[in-house]
Amino acid sequence: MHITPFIFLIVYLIGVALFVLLFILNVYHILRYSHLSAPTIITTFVFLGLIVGIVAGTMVMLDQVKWQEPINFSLPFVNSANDQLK
Amino acid sequence: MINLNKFYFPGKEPNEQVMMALRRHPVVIIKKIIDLIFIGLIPILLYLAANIYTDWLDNHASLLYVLVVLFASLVMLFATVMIYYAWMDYYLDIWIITDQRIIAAEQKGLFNRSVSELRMHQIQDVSSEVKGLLPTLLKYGSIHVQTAAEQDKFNFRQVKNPEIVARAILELHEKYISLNKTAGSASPTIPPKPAADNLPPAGK
Repeated sequence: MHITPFIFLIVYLIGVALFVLLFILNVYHILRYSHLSAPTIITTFVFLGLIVGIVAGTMVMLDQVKWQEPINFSLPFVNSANDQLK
Repeated sequence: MINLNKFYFPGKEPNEQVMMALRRHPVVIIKKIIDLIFIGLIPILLYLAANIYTDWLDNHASLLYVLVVLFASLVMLFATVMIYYAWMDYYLDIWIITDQRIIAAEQKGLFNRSVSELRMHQIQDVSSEVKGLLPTLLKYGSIHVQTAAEQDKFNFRQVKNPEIVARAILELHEKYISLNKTAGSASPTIPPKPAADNLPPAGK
């Protein structure tokens, strides 16, 4: 059975979008109920940097994946067990 | 030294002096952050273990590798955003004590914020409570301010040095009452202090 990894990328991007939305809501609360001060600005930028870093790191780790090409739907631990049964 | 008058709150009067601004003890947020960092590190540790002990992730174009990396990334993003949320929740919870009133602003989730106010003359009793090993060692706990009205107590949770703060609130209350009496404007509406049978003494 073959599957296009692009599907997993879409699911991942939906997850990222949700977390970014949550982050924006947090920033909104900080701005609405507090005032701009060094701790709020520094913390917000540190976390923004972390989020960008995680997403960028993920993309770097997956740069060899050809998202549109179908790949074999096989998991090593499942397949090796099946092979042993044969 | 922190300039307490920089703390803004709605309805601040021109001659109102901020005496104390309290947040929860930092250990409260540190505990939450450590838990979330641990959650964020789990997929990295699993990834490293799988890399060291198996050859499952050697092929960087395999389905398993894609799934593992995407899942680990989502878990780390979740942990990061939740740490930011925990910090926001900590930062936006504040109790401001002025020479005239107490303002409690609490963030209870993303879309729930409560701001309560208590005038100094409404205070009936102030008690503090330190419960548990860590609070005893690090000197943090709760302060309960009892009002004349039959309503929930005004509670400060997990604040530093609760005994000292409770005593300071009582002193501010007494000062406020005596100042008003001296000025001949003591509020006749202040009800007499009831026998606080079920309340621990202030500064407990």
